[in-house]
Amino acid sequence: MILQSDTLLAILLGAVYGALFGAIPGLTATLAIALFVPIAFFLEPAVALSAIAAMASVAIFAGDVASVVARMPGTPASAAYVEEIREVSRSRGAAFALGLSAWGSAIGGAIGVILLLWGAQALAALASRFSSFEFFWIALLGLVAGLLASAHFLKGLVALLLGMLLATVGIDSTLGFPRFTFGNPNLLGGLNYIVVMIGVFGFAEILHHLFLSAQTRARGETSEPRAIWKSFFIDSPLTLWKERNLALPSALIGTFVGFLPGAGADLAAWVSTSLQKIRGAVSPTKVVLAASCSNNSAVAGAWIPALALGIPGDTITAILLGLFLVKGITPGPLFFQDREVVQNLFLAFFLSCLVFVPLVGFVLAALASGLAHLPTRYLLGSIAGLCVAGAYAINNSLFDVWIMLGSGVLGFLLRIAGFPLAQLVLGMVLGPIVEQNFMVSAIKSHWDLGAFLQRPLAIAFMCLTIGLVFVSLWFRHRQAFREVNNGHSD
Amino acid sequence: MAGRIWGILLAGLGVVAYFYAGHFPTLEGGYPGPALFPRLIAGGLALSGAILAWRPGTTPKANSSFRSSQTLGAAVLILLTALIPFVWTWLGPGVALGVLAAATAWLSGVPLWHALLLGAATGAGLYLLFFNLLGVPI
Repeated sequence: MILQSDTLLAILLGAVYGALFGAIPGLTATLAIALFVPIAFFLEPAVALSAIAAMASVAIFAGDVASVVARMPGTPASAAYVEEIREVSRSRGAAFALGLSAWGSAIGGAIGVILLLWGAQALAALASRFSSFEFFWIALLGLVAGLLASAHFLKGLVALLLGMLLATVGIDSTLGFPRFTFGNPNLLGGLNYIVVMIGVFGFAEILHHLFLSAQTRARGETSEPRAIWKSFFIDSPLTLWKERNLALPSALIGTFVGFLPGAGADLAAWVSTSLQKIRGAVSPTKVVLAASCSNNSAVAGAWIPALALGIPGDTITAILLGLFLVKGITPGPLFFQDREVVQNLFLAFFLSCLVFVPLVGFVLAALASGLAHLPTRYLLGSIAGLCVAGAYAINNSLFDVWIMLGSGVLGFLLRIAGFPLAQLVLGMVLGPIVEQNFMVSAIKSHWDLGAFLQRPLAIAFMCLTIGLVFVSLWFRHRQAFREVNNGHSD
Repeated sequence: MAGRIWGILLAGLGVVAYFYAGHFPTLEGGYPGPALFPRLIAGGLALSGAILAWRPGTTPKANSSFRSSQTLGAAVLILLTALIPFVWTWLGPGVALGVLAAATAWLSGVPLWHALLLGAATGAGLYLLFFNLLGVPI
């Protein structure tokens, strides 16, 4: 079957539109799709769904562009490996770093779509057996994995707890009581983690440069078009081929995490990054590859419960289900009988992942290479403007500019004291999920905490969490043993 | 030394948050309510802050020492960013973003004329992108 020209055009425009939203901090894939909904009303279902698939796939990859240019992740998923992608960019150039991310996203996304194609209904049936007990253990697993991945355990724990404490500000989502708002109505909605992320990574970077005159120049940077082309289309795919054993497990993790309602690409990237770090002494290249494979496979994974059960996997699929309602499409087994829509959707996903992510990625890599060539001080003004505009755009609130500023100062101070900032963001993302699912489960079971250990799937996730702690300790012990041995042989 | 100060500050924050959360209501039957998680987190923060203060470990050395001109520059930027919401309300987002971009560039060592041009380009570019093209409400 060949896609119609209007569907192809929708995929192309969707990819470019998604790239724009993903690359700009403060603008999210969810916002892109929400703004697209009024246009989607007037399109055929197959065309509208294809455009949305392209937007989501490209936007998640494009979140890495701002990480490479300004150490300011464009999406929460990119925050999981911002330090690693910056390190790769500094040592081998922006084109290579974005090439790794683009090809990793392409392969991860394609694997995710294959799993969506073959296992949607079976995986969705498994997802329907999950309750708040299982979600509590899964979110806790994500927190534990993030903590164990920290190089300095105590500082990682402090950053994680600080993030979780910041996430408790605002109305408690389970019981509706305002906490730590100090009578300020602007705080009732809580601190948005994207606003905080813009501050702790973006604004803190500006303060870092101003304080320390850190004029870092990339070692492997080039502005030669041929060299950029070679880095993107030859060197990074070759590296991906060398690390091919990493792609499949990372994509499987991404799809599995993605299909859990409420988890999505953000958690997939965190889990994958953390597992790589827990293994110890891995290169930043491997971390970037694993995370980019995971976050794009999670995009497809999130569509599994949406299409098969009508349960949104993330905010994007929640909007998608709203569109289904308007278009008269019923999710579930009947959806898969509409061959035209289903085939268009899968082809759109494949095209977006395997063609448009690399193509749009190359254009963005060329732009990023050019920007990386400029002296950093020339970029700081634009980054400051982008921080303020991005923070405002999340909720159209000027109060968020002050939140961003406070987060930036906090991020700068934590950074110079050696605290990991990624764990702070992880605490803000996963803390509320852990709390909400714990409280719902506890209230459901009349505070019988034994109920957390009664369901087979919940026990399996608990064992996985405990197992992860032991595996991490074993890897750390083995690494320390090797370092001691190497020290003796030197 | 810095690690010890951080430990004391974080432990203090944990203690304050723990007792502040004590004022949150409990559920019927005396079950813990909205205070449960904040108190658990704050308790953990106080404990880990205390351990950090006791055994601070090593703090990464900065690349260069803080100089007064740089400290002043960063303080001016923080103050200016804090005032941006007022400038935004009076003169509009384009001007506010342009002023901030120009000031940041100048404070980081860009020549004044270049900084002004950068500010004008950034203000206009971000205004067009966010408010005209993407339709973010002002």
